Amino acid sequence: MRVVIAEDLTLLREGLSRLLGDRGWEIVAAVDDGPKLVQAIVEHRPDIAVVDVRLPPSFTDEGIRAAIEARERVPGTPILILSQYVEESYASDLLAGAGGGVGYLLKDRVADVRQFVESLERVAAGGTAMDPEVVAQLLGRRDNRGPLAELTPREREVLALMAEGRSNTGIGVELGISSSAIEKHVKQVFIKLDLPPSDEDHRRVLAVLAYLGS
Amino acid sequence: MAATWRANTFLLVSFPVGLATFTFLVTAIALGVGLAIIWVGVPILAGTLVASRWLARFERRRVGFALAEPVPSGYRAPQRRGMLGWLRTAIGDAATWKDLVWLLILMPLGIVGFTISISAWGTGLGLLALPAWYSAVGDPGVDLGALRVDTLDEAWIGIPVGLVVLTLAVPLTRGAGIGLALLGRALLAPSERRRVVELERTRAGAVDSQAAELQRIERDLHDGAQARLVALAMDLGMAQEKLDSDPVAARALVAGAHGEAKRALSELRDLSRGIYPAILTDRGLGPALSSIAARNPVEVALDVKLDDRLPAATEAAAYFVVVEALTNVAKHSGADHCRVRIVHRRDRLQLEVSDDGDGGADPAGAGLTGLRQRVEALDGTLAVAEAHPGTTIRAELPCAS
Repeated sequence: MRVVIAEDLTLLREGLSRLLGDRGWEIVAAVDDGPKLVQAIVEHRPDIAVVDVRLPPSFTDEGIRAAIEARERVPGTPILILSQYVEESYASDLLAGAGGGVGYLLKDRVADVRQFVESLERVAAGGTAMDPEVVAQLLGRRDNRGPLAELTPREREVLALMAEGRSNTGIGVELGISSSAIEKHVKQVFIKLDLPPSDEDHRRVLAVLAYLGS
Repeated sequence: MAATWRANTFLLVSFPVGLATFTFLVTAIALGVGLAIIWVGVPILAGTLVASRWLARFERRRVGFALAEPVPSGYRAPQRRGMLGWLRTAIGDAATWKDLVWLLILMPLGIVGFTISISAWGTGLGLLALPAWYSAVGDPGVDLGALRVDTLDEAWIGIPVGLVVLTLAVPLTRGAGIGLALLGRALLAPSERRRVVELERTRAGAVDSQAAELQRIERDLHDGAQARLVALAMDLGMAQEKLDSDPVAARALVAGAHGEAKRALSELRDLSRGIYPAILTDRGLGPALSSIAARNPVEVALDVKLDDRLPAATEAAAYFVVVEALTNVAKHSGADHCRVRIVHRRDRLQLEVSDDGDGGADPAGAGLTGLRQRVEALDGTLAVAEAHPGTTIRAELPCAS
């Protein structure tokens, strides 16, 4: 895999390069601000870009804005945003653009190397990786008397994992139950929330997130 | 010229306005005092007090017009909610009584001002018109009291004299108008001394609350992330020693260190969010509050109407008032629902957090005192009210934008 990294803190930039380099991935560029990120993506057309939200020159949500711009210039570039804090409103901006291949994770998740690499691979393959905190925020915002209240605890867990972008297999591994049981739960969730069924993971995530965010 | 025009308008209008306020206040107060024995008088007096605030507000605008600069108002903020709380504060507030003095002396002073203005201009214009007047009246001449104008030659003298009188009328009426307006401002605007005392008090409060906040952060760092990092370093040190001799134990130690590192990260994140959340800088008050509301254990209905970004200090104060209020609701109130309302009206931000819990908030408690200090440092106000059921916290913050 060819990777572009955008992170202004040298310690973390090198740490990420080492971590991904260890896996045999190729770091084609490691940059430290928004404009350089856009340039690197246009030049190298990487398989994925790993981007810190807070970058110079503005030190606000530069990373997200640069990522959105880069995806306009090179459509379909998979991008994983890392952030010290995750906020649902940033995630909505990111998802608003068309196409799959977006991720938004807390920086801490890097510490769980295996899961982090799995999320990267999922995003690189056109899937989605939403941080559980974003999903918790979305679930926390909903009125608990609506259709969500009709979900069983298990279905709620399945819904949250779907919103994170996990596949049925992934959800099954996480919850320790069989794929066929997961399929049943997923079907139930879609029926109860009145969502159009979809087999494709990315579309499914969008439908679930749109429902939660509405 | 404009100043003279404004001063005269002020003088002329002061008389009818003074007459009206005098009549109204004297009647209302007499009625209220007279009926006080059978209680009906008490609400009448209370109503008079409310009306005097409205009249004073009108007068402040009139005086501001005469002086061509706005006259500020400064009343004490009520410590308790409700009509009784308001009345208690209003009665104890010197500003209320100074308002009443102005509204009552406006009539006699208004008469004087009206007379000065009318006679100065009237005399000047009358003298200017003397020849025409004489021609119109004809033979018996014009009787000016002390003087008698018998011939047209005498009448012509009226023109230069009239011009002199009119020239003098300009500074005379302007002086009278501005003098009256200055007296009005002295009574209607808060005094400098009071403002200084207020500023000293709120500054001391701001310094105190900042020191307390720094202590809290130091304690949180010391007990939290710092302790975890020490434990982590110890685990790693031990793992290093056991790497060759006991790899199984070393692996367990590394796993422990990994866990401590992740917990330290999450504690540091919470701590820095508490100091100043990044989303507040990036996206402003609305999104920052919506993020807090989503995390809150008690269900929150957010009603935030903001079109523009506000000054950073206002946003931060408003944000922390809501955060502290929501924390209190979750910790102490036992409420099921709470509601956050924020409205931006011209140069004020009004903020209200209400819940349906058991009430019993202590306005003198550490949390609310810290909030009040934070709000007052910006010249804002904060009030806590028992709403039966529940508690309501209201804050008002200035925001020049």
